[in-house]
Amino acid sequence: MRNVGVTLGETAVLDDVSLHVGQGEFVSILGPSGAGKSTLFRLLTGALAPDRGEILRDCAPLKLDGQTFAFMPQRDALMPWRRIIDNVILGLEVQGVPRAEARARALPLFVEFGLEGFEQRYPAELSGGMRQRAALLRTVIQARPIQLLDEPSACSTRSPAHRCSAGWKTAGGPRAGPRCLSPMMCARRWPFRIASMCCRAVPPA
Amino acid sequence: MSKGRPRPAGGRLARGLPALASVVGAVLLWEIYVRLSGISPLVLPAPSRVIEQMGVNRALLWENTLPTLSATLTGFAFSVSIAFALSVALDFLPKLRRALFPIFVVSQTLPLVAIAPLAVLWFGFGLTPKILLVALVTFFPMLVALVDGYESTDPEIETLMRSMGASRWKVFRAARFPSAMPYFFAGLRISITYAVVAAIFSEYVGARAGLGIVILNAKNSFRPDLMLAAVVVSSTLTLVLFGVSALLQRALLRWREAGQTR
Repeated sequence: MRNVGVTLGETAVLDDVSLHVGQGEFVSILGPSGAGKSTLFRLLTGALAPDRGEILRDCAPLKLDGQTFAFMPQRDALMPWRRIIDNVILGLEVQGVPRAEARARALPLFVEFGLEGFEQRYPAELSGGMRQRAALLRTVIQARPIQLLDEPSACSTRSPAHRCSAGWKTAGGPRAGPRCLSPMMCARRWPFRIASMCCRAVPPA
Repeated sequence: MSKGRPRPAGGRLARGLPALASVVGAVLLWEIYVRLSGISPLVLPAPSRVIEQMGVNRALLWENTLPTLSATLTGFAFSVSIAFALSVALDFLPKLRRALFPIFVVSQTLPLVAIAPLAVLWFGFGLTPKILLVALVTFFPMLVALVDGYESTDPEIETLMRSMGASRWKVFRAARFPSAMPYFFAGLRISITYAVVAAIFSEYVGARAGLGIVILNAKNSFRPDLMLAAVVVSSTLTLVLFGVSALLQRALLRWREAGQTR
């Protein structure tokens, strides 16, 4: 991102933000509420266009074709009418993978994400943490080069976090090293484990 | 009623008991009033007499219920199909929506009393005017239910799907359409009750058979007992259709009950 600026109405939400993320890097973006962390993601997912500056990937302007990023929204955005397994494979389905194949790919990962036995449940039947992990699995399984996690707080609880990060490596597979931007609030309260996942903190605009 | 969760049959019976008691009570009061006042059955027949007439005229009532049912269901199916097709078009073309919506609103201001005889005049005594009138009455509520339903889609789900590179059609199919289903069924339950009333009224102004015709003939021969018997049949028909749509909703939207049952 080079000198990116976004103005919504009268408010300069982002002003002259520059950020470089290298191959295999975990970057977490910290800042107080309203600092514009989620706005960065809206730029990257194409929900918003920058008013100033440019966004590049491998030195070329970023293509918003849905091939680059796997996005995990702040709220889990699980579809209440789909069973967990079918929520998890949504991204694969959009990519054109047949449902049966997508399910077969997703099922082995349920254990590592602490969701085994809940494949056929509806989101309303899961706890908040489990919903977050399902949303994370839905993100990871898309196997995109870059993952954007907006406050993935599911990993703040102890044991599932270990499992999640293990699952992360598994799902990332050979493409590996998912570069990950994760804006998180209240970072000081986060366990050390997570801080170690986020190796660089960028002050917000 | 609508938010039914699976309960033991005894529990449901207990919940329905106050309603049942009030209905039975009202009918009893009516019966007692008619007997004590000695009012003529040509003015106000007792419930017992209405029930008796239902038995005596059961063949007549049954023969005339079928045309009403078929007019209701054909008209309603027609209306729902058009409303659905149009709702999809309106969802993809907001301009079309702005162009057509006022017309639909105006269609709801037309008094059925005036339109029904005209429809008979234009389309005859067959099924066509009935289908059109049922559609006129039920089309708009169904369309609004669907259009509002699409709009109720969680914007984060749409953002998520677009971040996955989903096409607009895919977003519609996987997110907007399922989001509209609870609204669709709410509209269905309300509209189906309107549909029966519209069918009966369109028969009343001109038809060869149907509950509307039974009511008309009974009125003309000063038979309030037979009129009320036909009313009981039509109310029962409406309740049955209402119940069927509620059951349909429960069968198709099982996810809505998930998480409530435990």
